[in-house]
Amino acid sequence: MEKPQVFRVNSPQVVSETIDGEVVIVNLDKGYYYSLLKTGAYIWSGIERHLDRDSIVVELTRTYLGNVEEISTAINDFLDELQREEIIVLTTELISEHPNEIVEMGEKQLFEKPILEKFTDMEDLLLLDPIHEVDVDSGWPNVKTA
Amino acid sequence: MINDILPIYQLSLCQKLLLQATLLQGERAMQAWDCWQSLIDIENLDPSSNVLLPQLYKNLLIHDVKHPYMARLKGIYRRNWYANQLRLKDLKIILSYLKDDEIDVIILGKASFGSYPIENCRSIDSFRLLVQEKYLERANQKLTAVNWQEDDPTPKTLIHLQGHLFWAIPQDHIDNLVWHNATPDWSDRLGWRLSVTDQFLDSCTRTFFKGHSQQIYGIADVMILIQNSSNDIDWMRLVSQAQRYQMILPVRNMLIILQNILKPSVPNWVLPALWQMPIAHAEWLSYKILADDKRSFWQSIYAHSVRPLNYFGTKLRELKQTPFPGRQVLKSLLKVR
Repeated sequence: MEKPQVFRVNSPQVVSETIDGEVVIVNLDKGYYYSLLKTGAYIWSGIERHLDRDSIVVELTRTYLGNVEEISTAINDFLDELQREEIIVLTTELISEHPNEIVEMGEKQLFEKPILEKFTDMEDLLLLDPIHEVDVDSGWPNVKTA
Repeated sequence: MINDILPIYQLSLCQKLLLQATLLQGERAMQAWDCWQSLIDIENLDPSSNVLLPQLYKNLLIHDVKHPYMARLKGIYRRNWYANQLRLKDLKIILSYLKDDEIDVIILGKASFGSYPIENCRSIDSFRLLVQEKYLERANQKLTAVNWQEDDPTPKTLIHLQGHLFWAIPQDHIDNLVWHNATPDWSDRLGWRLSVTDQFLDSCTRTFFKGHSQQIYGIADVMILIQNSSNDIDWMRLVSQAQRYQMILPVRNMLIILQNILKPSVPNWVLPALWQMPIAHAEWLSYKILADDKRSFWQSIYAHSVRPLNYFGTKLRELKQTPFPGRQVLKSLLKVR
């Protein structure tokens, strides 16, 4: 039987903060900035709670409406992408004592594929005026479109 | 015109409302926010107000505010958070270098608020580091060795390395007191943190020091110290140290502003005690006075009227150190003859 795969945030080179449902992440070694919303942010909370890969899938299939197989594939792809970006790493030390705590969301919402939004041209983005040169509806680091 | 001669600290209505919307809770905060956002254009804010926007965003979020400005405020917060993470990483590297050489550092200024909820609400544009005077030169050499150049014309981040925080005689004793009251708990014991009382004093002096441009974040910093660490503020010590270090005026200014705008919980005796203390001549010259403080205004005018005599004296001493040009003129005249 395969060992459960548990992840941890690749700290100290990766730091994150959750702001109003959005997870913002920075890889301090590379300077890259990432953003997770909705299901991506939910999966992140599972990682922070040290849920193993299968438990994250189970929790999201219970929380969201959708085809179980599609949800499972999307989550696994997403976790692989987070690993490739060196944002999370596998760990053998941390296993959640309270797996599958369902977050109350009222009525079940339709599952949306998690997206890892990545910004690499940070030197330019840091020079942006965060009031005048950004998209009014989404704010920095989203540049105002002409 | 008088402001040029006698720097006066005056908050605009919008700045007062911004402080209230940023630092208060509940209905008072929301009333201030409603009023502020109706009066301002976010695209034309004064630089001093801009500094508070990340913290304003955090408070609005707590109050579940929905407003078209929120997206941009969130963006400002994100940018600030991202930039600060990179700067804090640099700071941790610096502290590790110095720690390896057994040089302890107290982190001052915007990077000092590590454990407070405003950690990511101030833009850390420079590092103010306090080391013991005897290690100052060694710390400087150590940092220069790792490419922190004194004369770098385009530094991305500045380090202000200092050996003293407060000035009084005997200086060694004052320096030791600062270290005695500090705690080694900044970021996994990499650095030290000032006692809350010393942090309070430092914020007051920097807010009202004449050489600095008017900033309102210092007021917010002190308010946060009171809100989060009121039990750690030694008010007796604060008042006595303010007197000893000749910092009565900035502390008094701060408490008057806080009382008028934010009404924090401060022991009743503190402000009257500060009003009774005589203020040294140097204080009137060093710190800004509040616009509506008539008594301080006249005292400060008097101090300034005495200052030109001192300045004249300094200029005369400078002249003595340089060769007297008249003699050269005389020599050339003699040669001609």
